[in-house]
Amino acid sequence: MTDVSVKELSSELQAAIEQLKSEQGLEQVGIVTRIGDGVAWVYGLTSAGFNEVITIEGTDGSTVEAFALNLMEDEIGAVLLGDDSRVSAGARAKLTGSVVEVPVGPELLGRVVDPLGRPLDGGGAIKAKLRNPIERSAPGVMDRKSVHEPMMTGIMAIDTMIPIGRGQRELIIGDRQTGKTAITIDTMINQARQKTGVINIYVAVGQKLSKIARLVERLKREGVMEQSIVIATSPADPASLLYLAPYAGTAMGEYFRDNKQHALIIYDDLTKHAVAYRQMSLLLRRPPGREAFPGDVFYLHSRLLERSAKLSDNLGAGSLTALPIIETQAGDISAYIPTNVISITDGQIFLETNLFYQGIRPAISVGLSVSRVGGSAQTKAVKSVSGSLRLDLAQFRELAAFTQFSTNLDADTKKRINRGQRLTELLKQPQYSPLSVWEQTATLIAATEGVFDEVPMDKIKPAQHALLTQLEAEHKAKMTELNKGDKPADTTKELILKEAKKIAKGYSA
Amino acid sequence: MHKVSRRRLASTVVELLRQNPKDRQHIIQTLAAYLIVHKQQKRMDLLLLDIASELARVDAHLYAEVTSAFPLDKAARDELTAYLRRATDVTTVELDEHVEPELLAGAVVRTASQELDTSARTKLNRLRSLNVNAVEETLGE
Repeated sequence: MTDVSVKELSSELQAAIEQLKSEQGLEQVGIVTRIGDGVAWVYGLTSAGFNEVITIEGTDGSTVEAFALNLMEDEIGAVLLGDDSRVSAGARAKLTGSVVEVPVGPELLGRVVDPLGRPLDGGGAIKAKLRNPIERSAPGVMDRKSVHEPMMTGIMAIDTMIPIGRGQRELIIGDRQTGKTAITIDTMINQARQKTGVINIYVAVGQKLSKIARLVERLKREGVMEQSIVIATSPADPASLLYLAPYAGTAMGEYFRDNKQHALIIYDDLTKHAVAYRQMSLLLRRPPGREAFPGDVFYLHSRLLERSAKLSDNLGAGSLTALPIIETQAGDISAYIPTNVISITDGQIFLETNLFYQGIRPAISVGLSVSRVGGSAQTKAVKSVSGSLRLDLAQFRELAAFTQFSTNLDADTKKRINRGQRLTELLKQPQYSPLSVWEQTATLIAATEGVFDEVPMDKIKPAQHALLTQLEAEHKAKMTELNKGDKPADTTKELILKEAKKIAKGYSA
Repeated sequence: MHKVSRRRLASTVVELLRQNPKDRQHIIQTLAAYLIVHKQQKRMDLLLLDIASELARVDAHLYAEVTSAFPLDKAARDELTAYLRRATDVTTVELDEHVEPELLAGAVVRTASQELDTSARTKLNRLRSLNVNAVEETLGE
């Protein structure tokens, strides 16, 4: 028996409520002492937390939001999320008691939003039931599982040689205009074509608005937009929004990851993100380090990418796969930001300008690209036929370089070069046309068995196209079976070889 | 010369004033000299706020600036003092009253680090921004 009197409890509770009510009106306030370049220095607000949102009274009676990044003895440095021309020195700043949050949930699908979750597509208010903080800690060791399911990009060169798994972080790195974004768009389109159910999140960090508009238009046309979220920031936005965009996108992706679904997030690109953070840090007077980036620029990206993970079965086995993009200058992958992100991610796809202008598109440099964990996630069908592909291509490149000026070649060398040229040709793929598992498998079975060796170079792509059309028309059931991803049966292999030989004969000189 | 942070300066001043209340004049002169030498005269208002919050912390003495639309009567003053005592846990409250008809109604109470805004002007401003959002949302649907 406890001796609690309900009457006493009731009156105490009443008093507590009264007390709370009376305290509700008193708010922590500070005064803006300096303002400029999107950074406000605020006197007071001594109880502000790191990353806490503060509201500053604007000159026209409206409020401007900011978040606290520098907490010092006498003042705090806050980065404005809006226009700094509406704030003047002497303005009052108030604590909101919360960190930056964004709406999350399925209500965001099909929408174009800014990093604070406000719609940019003119499609009305987003009535999300949930809001999550944009900064969250990554899942721990026991919350994870090793990457084991494929994330098919539909790009044969990637799916066969640099396979990506769900929950992996695979960097896409290359100079400007080498097709980095194109790879990610194809991957998004492939999720819709193959009906994988993977949610796409595209984070545009300081991208031209015309480019984003074109992307959204293309996604709509391909029917991908219904399963996608686009977070858009342009070069005209304040650096704070560019800085927040990847974190906001990740928070939206985590909702799907934590709810037993699979999501794919594309950060386009993290170079601009680092530059935006450098701008903020320098304006906040943090000491500059290498290339004037602040000391914590590694942590900036590591804490972001660590949130992409494959969750354990206990947590629903959802996943968040990340495809960060880094733009290099003149192919220099040993610059500060590229080396940082290469070391954080589970592999990289390196795109080369030379290859791009040679017409090898996607311009993937097979030698410099790796996937550290994707091998165990590769589809069995593709894996069973792509084993020697990487090696064959590597040998081909070596021989091709070595024999460039030589005319007398032995039969074996000639054969290897011949095969290599044809494989390179087959791995070329136009944009917006991702290939399904069976298409990749069938092409590879024919190519690695040397069926196309006699087909002239300019007829390789038409021959491949004819083979795939023929297989789809005549053996649809077998191909649907193959598309499930299991290792192809010997009969299927024989069937593909038979059809391929017939077609190759027609195209041979 | 070593520059001292404003908060440390405020806490030192309060400490000295508490220890030697008779030396008040001398302490203030020294502080003024310090501010002039360090070219911090413009920061005087912030320093005063720091001193006020330090006084509230160590002396349980609260300085509050009250701006109201109409002059306060005794009942309102007593109620406000009682409220501030309760809400901020101090024993003495010093009210600095001003009248500002632009507030329309209600009052704004400002202490060194906190604010209680019950003015009609702020409420109308808030209502205006809420209204704008609501209209935008309705139009968007």
